This record gives sequence, structure tokens and C-alpha cells, in this order.
Amino acid sequence: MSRDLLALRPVHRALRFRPFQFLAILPAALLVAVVVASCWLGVDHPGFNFGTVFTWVVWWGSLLLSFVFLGRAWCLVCPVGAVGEWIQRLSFWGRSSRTAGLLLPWPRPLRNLWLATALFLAFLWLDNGYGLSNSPRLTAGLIVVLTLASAWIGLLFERRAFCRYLCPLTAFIGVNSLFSILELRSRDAGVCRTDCPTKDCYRGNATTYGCPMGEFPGGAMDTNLLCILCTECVKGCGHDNIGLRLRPPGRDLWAMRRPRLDGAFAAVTVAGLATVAPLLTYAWLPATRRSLAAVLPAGTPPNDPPRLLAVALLFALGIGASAGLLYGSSLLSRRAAGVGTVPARTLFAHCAYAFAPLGLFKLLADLLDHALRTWGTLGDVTRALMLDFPRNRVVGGRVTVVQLAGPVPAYLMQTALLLAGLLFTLYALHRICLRLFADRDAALAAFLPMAGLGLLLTLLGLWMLGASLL
Amino acid sequence: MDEVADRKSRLGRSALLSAAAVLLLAGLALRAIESAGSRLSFSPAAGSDGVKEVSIRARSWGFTPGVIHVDPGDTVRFLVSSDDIKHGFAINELGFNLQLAPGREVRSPDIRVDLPPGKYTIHCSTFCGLGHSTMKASLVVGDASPATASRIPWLASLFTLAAAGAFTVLAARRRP
Repeated sequence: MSRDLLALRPVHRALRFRPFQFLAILPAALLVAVVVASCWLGVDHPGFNFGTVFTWVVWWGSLLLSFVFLGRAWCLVCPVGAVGEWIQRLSFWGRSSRTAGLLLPWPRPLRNLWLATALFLAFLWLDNGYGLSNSPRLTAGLIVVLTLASAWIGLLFERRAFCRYLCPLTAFIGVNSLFSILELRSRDAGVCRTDCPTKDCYRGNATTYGCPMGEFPGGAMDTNLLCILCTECVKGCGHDNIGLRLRPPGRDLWAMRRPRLDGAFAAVTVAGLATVAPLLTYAWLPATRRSLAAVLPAGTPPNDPPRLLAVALLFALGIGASAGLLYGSSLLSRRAAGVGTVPARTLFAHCAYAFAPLGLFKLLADLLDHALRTWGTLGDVTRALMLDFPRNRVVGGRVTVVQLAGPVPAYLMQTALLLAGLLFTLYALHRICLRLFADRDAALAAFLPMAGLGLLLTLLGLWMLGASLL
Repeated sequence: MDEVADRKSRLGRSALLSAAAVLLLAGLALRAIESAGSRLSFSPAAGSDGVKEVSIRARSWGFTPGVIHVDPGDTVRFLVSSDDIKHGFAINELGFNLQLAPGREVRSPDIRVDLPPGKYTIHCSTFCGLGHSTMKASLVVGDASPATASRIPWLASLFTLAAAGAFTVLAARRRP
């Protein structure tokens, strides 16, 4: 059921070519530079500025789609993470004998995704409360701050500590990439175990670095969660034992040997931020803001403390409710399967990952609607940027309206996406329950409450997206 | 035999409990969605210049009023302001798209509504956060009869329910 792309000679040669990653980063770096220039110096409205339209529609949409087909391919080309690595290695692609970094080990208590998930939530709060994606200047500021942070962390800590533990998107990207149809793994685990004493894929050698993410492709790495496809292990493996395989979508979701709670919470966050959190904010933001304005000094948005706090509270409630719903379903599943079987906490940790496709496809459905309605904007702002670089003022207060699909066809496409997300989630949940419970009836009994939660979140998405049709 | 009966009863209880939980929570969610969307309806009267002026306030993530009634052939002017962050205000069928900033009222050009009777979507055209896709209102032109479109979310929900049910039945019947 899988095909190894590295068995194809041109792919094999390209990925073993030392400057491969650098050459892949260059166009992305150029685009990011144009985006920063446009955001920093261009018109200060997100609907007219090339940088914001490109970042929050084109890049965001491409990122969501890339999870399905290419896993963490964005991390392969991301210039933000690369800057830290270049500074640390004092080299763009070759194995350097020198380093500018202190190469400190990352603190043990922080070797997980909790901090990255917290930063992701902070990023969401800034976005939805303060309007980060809503402001060209703040968008440029975010990219610059992240690049400086990557450089600083690269100077202090070993490998890509920033990309693994700190990047606000790493947990989001990692969890969604579990769904991908592409995986990079060792071809034969036996070769790594018995024939390879040097473990170059992890430790590096005279010509290559060890895995920048601190993963061990020849050993424990059994998911896409942290593999950034940098292909360093492909170059370093002396046994040519690394494969880049196409596979059925979502396999990591149920085949994960040791699901960790930090990743599980990140997965709940992905599903919750696409479903429960927007619902609560949509339903209660005005009332919550009004209540808080009675006790906090109000300001002019976005510098409006009652609104900022209201968004924070509702997001916390949304993510908390999502985790609570999943834990409640885990308790129901455990009870349904019979006492003395799998603990609810284990069910939570395994099943949380299965909800990631539901969140991913909801986010795709959200963006599809925007793209279909505002397609003309991209042409306008690109033309404006080319005619008036980098200020792109030529749009002149109006953007073209091009509607690619009416409300009903758009909603039907969104329904198809939500349904696809639900079916992938149900399939993953069923496989997980079959693996956790020896008895098929117990597995089915445990599956039902989880499936109910998946159905509920999907219906919620359908109703929110369809509210304007009702 | 007792063990088989016990398993079956556990399965039945699980199905019942799951269905009850979904029903309860879905009901609450639906109530929240319905209460959030502004159903406040507004039918502007023509001013001395013959133009129907409509004042609209945008916020994350909705518009007030949520439904605006006009007649075919009317000339309409929209005065739109944002209560919080930057938003857009667009009606694709009328071919206009305003960009809003907080604290400033934006005035649309005078627009002649040359549209057949029906319900048209007003939407935010600036990506404004996680709930952006729900930031919509309606322009009702003429005496629009209840549109078929309003049934589509319910049909989609039924279809989703059927798909999830079919999956569960298939999963239950699958042999090891």
C-alpha cells in the first residue's frame, strides 16, 4: 500500500544533493521578504495589502493543504527556522567544523509540546483579540520577532530547539501532519537496530548533521509529528535505509505506538479551535465584553481591555470545553467497554489525535468560503504590489469582486470537506479502539461515545457555516 | 450466554448514552448559534434624495442588523462602521466591497439594486479570525419566498448523520 519515492533515481539524487534544502528555502525566503516589505511599508489595511492577503489567505491555505499531501513540508522551506540553523552552523548547507552556538541542551522539563501549544494559543489570542492577521504592521512584526527568536535560540541551544519546542506553529503543524499521505521513515528497522552502530541519522557524521529536530529516524520516530523533511538523515544514512513513502492518509493517527499527552492536548486544541472555540466566541463575545466593560476601563479596539480579556476567556473556555468533552467521552467509552479495561486517560491520549482531521477539514472549509468569495482581491493586491512596490497603494480603496461559487455550491463543498474530516476521524477512532480492546464488542462500545463527539463537532461546524442560509 | 447478553446490553447502553449526549449538546449548540446570529431585520425608507440609507455595524463576527429588506430597483446607500477590528463589507451580487476600520464610518456609493427577488449574502471580505466564515448577514430583495437554500444545512446534517450511522453499522458488521 505504500510507494517509496526515494526508489526513484531523480528524487534520490535530488534529496541527497547537499544544497537541496537551501535551494528549497531560497524562493520561500524571497517571498517572505516581499511579504515583510509589503506589510511594513505598504497600505495599512489587511484587505488591500499584498502581505496580509498573501500570508493569511494564500500561505495559510497552502499550509493547510500541505498537511494533507506533504506533511511538514513548510518546515523544510521555512526561512524563519533556517535562520537559527544557519547562524548556529555558520554554513548554509555544508557540514561545518565550526559553530557560533553554545549548543546547550534544551531544558529537560520543557522537552514536550506544552510550551509550543501555549504559544500557539497566545498567537491565536493575539490574532483574534488584537487582530494580528488583521494588521499588516503586526503581521510583519510577528515574522521579524519569530526570526529573531529563532536566531537567538539557535545561538543558545543545540539543533533546532526553536522549531521543535518554541515555534508557535510547531504543535499545530505536527499534529495536522499526522494525516499526511507522505512519510519519511527507515525502510528496515532491523538494519538500524543490528547493522548500524554509528546512528548517523541522529548523531551526524563528518559530512552531515544529526536530525535537527532531535528525532531518531532509524529508531523511535514512528510518526510525522516532528519530522520536518529536511532530508539530513537521507544524506547521512550509510545504509541507504531511509525511505520517503506515499501511504494511505492518516495512518499515524491510529498506528502511533506511544501517544503522548502533550501531543494529544495539541490535537484537542486543533479540533477545539476549529469548532467549539469559534462557536463560544461567536455566541458570547459581545455579551462577555459588555459584562467586563463594567469592571475594566474600555478603550478603542483593538486596544480595548474588556474585549481582549473576553476573547482570552472565551478561547480558554472553548479549548477547556473541547478537552472536557473528549475526557467525558473517554469516561463514557471506558464505562461502555467495561470497568477494568483501558483507563480513560489512555483513551484520551490515543483518541485525541484522531480528532485532528476533523479540525483540519473544518479550517479548510472556513478558508474555502473566503477564497471563493474574495478571489479577485489576490489579483488586485498582486498587481498593486508590482506597480507600486512595496507600498502597493494602487488598489485605491476598492477591490474587485469575483465570486467563484454562490452560497449554495460553496456550502455544499464545505459540507463535503466536513464530511471527509468526520469519516477520517471515525475511521481512525475505530482503528484505535480495535487496537486498544481485544474484544470487538468492547471496542465498538468504546467507539460509540467518541464517534458521537465527532458527529457533534461536525454538526456544529455545519450549522455555523450554514447560519447565513437559514 | 450471560457474558454475551452483558456485552450486548453494554453496547446498547453505550449507543443510547452517546445518542443522548449528542442530542443534548447539539441542542445547546444550536440554541447558541441561533441566539448569536442577529435576526434584527431592517427595512429602510427612502430619503429626500430617493436613496434608501442603511446604517450597519460590523463586529467579530457578525453584522447588525442581520437582515436588510429592500425592493428591486431601489437605490441604496450603506453606511458601515466597525465596532472592533478591521473588517470588510461586501455583497458580491451588487459588485461592491468596502474595507472598514474601527471608529470610522464608511459610506458606499449609491447602488441600484438590479437583482431579482431573493436572499443575498452580505459577507466580511477581510480575513478577521477564526469565526470569519460565520460573519455574514442577508440582503432580502422584494418578497422573497422561503428559499430552498434554508433547508440545505438541515439536509446536510441529515446526510452527515446517515453517513456516520452507516459507518458505525459497517464497523459493527466487519469481521475480524
